[in-house]
Parts: sequence; C-alpha cells; structure tokens
Amino acid sequence: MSKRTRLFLLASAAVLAAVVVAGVIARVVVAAVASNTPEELAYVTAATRMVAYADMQQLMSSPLHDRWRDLQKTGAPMGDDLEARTGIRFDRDIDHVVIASPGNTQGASNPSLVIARGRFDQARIDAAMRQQGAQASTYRGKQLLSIKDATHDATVAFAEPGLLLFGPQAGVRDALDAKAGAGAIIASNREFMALVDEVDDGTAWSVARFDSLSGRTPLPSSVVSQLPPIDWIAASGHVDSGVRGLVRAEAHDEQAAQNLHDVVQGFLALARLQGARDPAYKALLDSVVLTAQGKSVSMSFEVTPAMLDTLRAQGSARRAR
Amino acid sequence: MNGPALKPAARIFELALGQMLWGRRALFMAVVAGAPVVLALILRLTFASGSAVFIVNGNRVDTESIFTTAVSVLYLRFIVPALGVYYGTSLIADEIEDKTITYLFVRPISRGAIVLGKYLAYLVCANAVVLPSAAIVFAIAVPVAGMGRLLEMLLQELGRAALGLAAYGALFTLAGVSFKRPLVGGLIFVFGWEQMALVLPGYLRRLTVAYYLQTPETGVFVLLAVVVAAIGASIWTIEHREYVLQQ
Repeated sequence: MSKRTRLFLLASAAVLAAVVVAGVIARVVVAAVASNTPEELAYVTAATRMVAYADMQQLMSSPLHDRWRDLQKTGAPMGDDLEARTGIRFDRDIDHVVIASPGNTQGASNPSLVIARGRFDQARIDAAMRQQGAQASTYRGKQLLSIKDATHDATVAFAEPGLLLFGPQAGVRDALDAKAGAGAIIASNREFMALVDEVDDGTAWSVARFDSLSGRTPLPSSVVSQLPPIDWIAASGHVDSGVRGLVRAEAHDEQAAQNLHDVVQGFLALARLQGARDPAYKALLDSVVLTAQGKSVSMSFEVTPAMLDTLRAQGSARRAR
Repeated sequence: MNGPALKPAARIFELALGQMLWGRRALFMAVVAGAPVVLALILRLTFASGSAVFIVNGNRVDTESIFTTAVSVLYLRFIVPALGVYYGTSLIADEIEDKTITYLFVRPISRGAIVLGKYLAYLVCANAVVLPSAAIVFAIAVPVAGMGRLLEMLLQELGRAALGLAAYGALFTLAGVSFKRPLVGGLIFVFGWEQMALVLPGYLRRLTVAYYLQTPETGVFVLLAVVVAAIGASIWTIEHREYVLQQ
C-alpha cells in the first residue's frame, strides 16, 4: 500500500473518530451538566403508566402564571384536594412535584401518587389529617397517616425530610417498597428513561404509555382508535412569559411513525386552512415544527406573549358580544 | 476460497485500492461525497445568519433535520447506490473493456481472489470516503448541544450507509462479472426500479435493497445474506465463465 493511500485512510478514520468522540463528549457533558431527571423517580414503581413532573416554583413565578391567575380568578385552585385534606398549598409549600399514575384498569381511573418535594409543616399536616379521622400506622420505618373508608383512600407519608408522598395507601406502600429496593422502579425501564431524558429540561413534562391515556385525551375515542399504533407519548413545556412545548410520540415501528406524521401533518394543514385569517392562530401554527425520525414523531410549538394577548383580546371581545 | 487464496486477494486488494483512490474515478467519488458537505455548510451559514427560514410541507426545517434529510435522501437514496453501481460494475467489467483482464488471469492466482480483493478494495475505498463525509455533515448541521442526543442516530446511519455500500457493491460486482454492459442496467435498477418499487403497494418493495436499508431490524440479516450470496455467485461466475475479449 502506498504512503499516500495509507495517509488517506488514516485521515478518513481520524475524521470519523473525531466526530464520534465529539458526540460522546457532548453526550457525557450534557448528561453531567443538564441532567434534570428528578431523584423522586426512585419512588415510582415499574407498573406506573404515566409520570408527570412540574417545577412548581418556576411555574408559579412565571409571568405566564400571573396572566393565567388574572384570567382564572374564579376557577378552582390547583391541588385543591391535597390542600383540603392536608393543608398543603401547591404554590407556597412545594418546590417540585412528581405525579405517578397507574392508569385506568377495567374502565375505572385509579388514583395517582403525588411525590412532592418542598417545605412542609409536618405537625400541621399531621393535625389536619388526624382531624379528618386519619389512622396512623408504620410501614418500612415511615409513619403513614391514612383516611380509608368506602369513599376515601388517602395516605400521607414523609418519606424523607422535605419529601412527601400522598395517594392511595397501596400506592404509598408500593412507593416505599420501590425506594427500599423491594420492587422494580420505572427508572429501570430504558424506553421510559430515554423519553424522560428527552423532555426533562422542561418546566413541566410528562411521559406516558399511550394506552394509559384512553379517555384522557381531548380527542374523541373514535379518532384515537384510528391512529397508528403508538407505544409512548411524552410532552414537555418551558414556561416563561410564553410556552415552548414539545410533544413526542414513539410509534410501534417506523411505518407507524410515518403514518402518524402524515396524519398530524394533515390535521395541521386543515388547521392552517381554518386559522389562516386569525393572526394569533396563524403565528402559533407557523411555529409548529413536525419531524419524524425512526419510530419517533415530534411536534414542537411556541406560544408567545403576543399570541396570548391576541387570544385574550379575542376572548374578551367574544364575551362582550 | 481457501486460506492460501486470501494472500493473493490481499495483494489484489492493495493494488486495486490505490487505483480506486487515485484513479480517474476518484474525481466522481470526491464530487459525490463533497456535495452534501458544501450543501450542509451553506444551509448552516444561512440558518446562523437568520436570513432565511426553510419550510417543507408546511413544516419549518431546523439544522438537525438537514442531517436526517441528507442521510435518508442524499446518502442512502443517491450517493450509496450511485457509488455501488459505478464502482461495483466496473471492478471486473473495466478490466474486460480495457482488455487487461488477461494480465490478471495469467497470474498464478485464483480468479475468485481477484473478485474478492477488488470487492474489498471497493468497500474500504467507498467507506473511507462516504462515512467521513456523512460525519462531517453531522458535525456541521447539528449544534454541539444536540450532538450527544443524536450520536446513536449518527452511528445507526453510518452503519446503514456501510451496509448499503456493501450490498449494492456486491450486487453490482455480480452484474459486472455476469454482463457485458452492466452500468446501464445498474442505473436503471437503482434509479428506476428501486424508486418505483418503493412507492408501489404490495411486496414489490422487498425486491429492492433500499427497502431493507429502511427496516434495519430484519434488513441487516437480509443484506448480509445478499452480500455473501452475491460475492459467492461472483466468484463462482468468474471461475467458470469464459471471457472473450473483442479485438
């Protein structure tokens, strides 16, 4: 082999290696610097069908929340059930929250487990629960306060300092088992964690098995049943004065992903046709980026403060009429 | 092909590799592999300056989509098959056309070693040009922050490109040893039949290489089988066929 041939092959291999090494370094650095995966996932069992996360402090202090509060002054406050039972206020006491749902079984919706990190007045919560007839018990060294009768099944446990579990008694016990290593945790599911890695930089995000969403999506069930097979769905939102959102679906195979991409593209085309005259909707639809890559179909969008102002003005005008 | 036959194949490999890299056909390879790099550079600079927004089918194209589009459309649908046809058909056909095959056949080496050596040289040469080209497009198109996330995809796409080069190369090596004018037929197969069969309903798409490149789960085994079968058939054909050189 001549010297220049050898040199060419070496240079070629070096270019290839350099790009791959750069990718590996970028992956390691990004993982080290920007890993936002909450450690509360250690309490989430492998049987969970949907996990949602929200950085409450960032959400509550965002300009968007201020606008929302102005608009929804008459609406029920977020987390009212938790507050009614325990005296915990979402906006004041909680830093971030993970909600784990076992999904629907036999047509019935199972209650979710709330894992909240924040600053809690344990004595006050204890008193509030006991006032409602809560019974104390101990499980894996943690005190559980449970209200369990024909219509209620709610348990509160302080799993760690500043970490509260709230949900059905069996759910809280399963979470403590999972943390103790007595049960499989969702973090051992590589597919799930890969999706979490994709979305966990958002202010709020959710990853769910698509079948767990039956009856919870805004789409009619007849439409959902016509969609190509989807295994997982993930969504995230960066909330500031507006919202930057990403919805990602993991289809069963590449063909299903392509079909889903085509279906969504069709809906977008229809929406563009209908919303072309409305500047707010047009701007929203123009911000939509739809991509299909392997088995994934992703759709990102942006709702700017200007769009929100326009939508708000239109809403007020309609109400005035 | 036995052990002693591999040594002559290695000698042919060295000789053919030098000819491929520095011969007249190298210019075609340089242009084909360089074009996506230049295109990616132009698009990246355009995006960076913010002077243009690209919308395809109503969807805004970002820099990451440039890479995925470049790989799936430019590399896998054009560059890889084109190089496979151009080089694969010429491995033996050129020697016949230039009437230099006699010089190889009179040497004390098996004819199969000639095919094997030349095919391996094509494989190394094509991969040494195409894979770094795709990697450079990746480095240009994808922002550093996104590189880690898309690394797996890059490796998969490089693997698909390498597999495509091997499969197309093997098929057209067989065409080269079997037919007198294989290039035209090869081009019709790649840019006519494959493009048409992929959009036709039914099972016709299974008679294309591109289909198996798009379905890596099962496609890898099928394409590896195609490579082994095509190279085996090429060796058998060249061992048994009589080549009549036109005066």
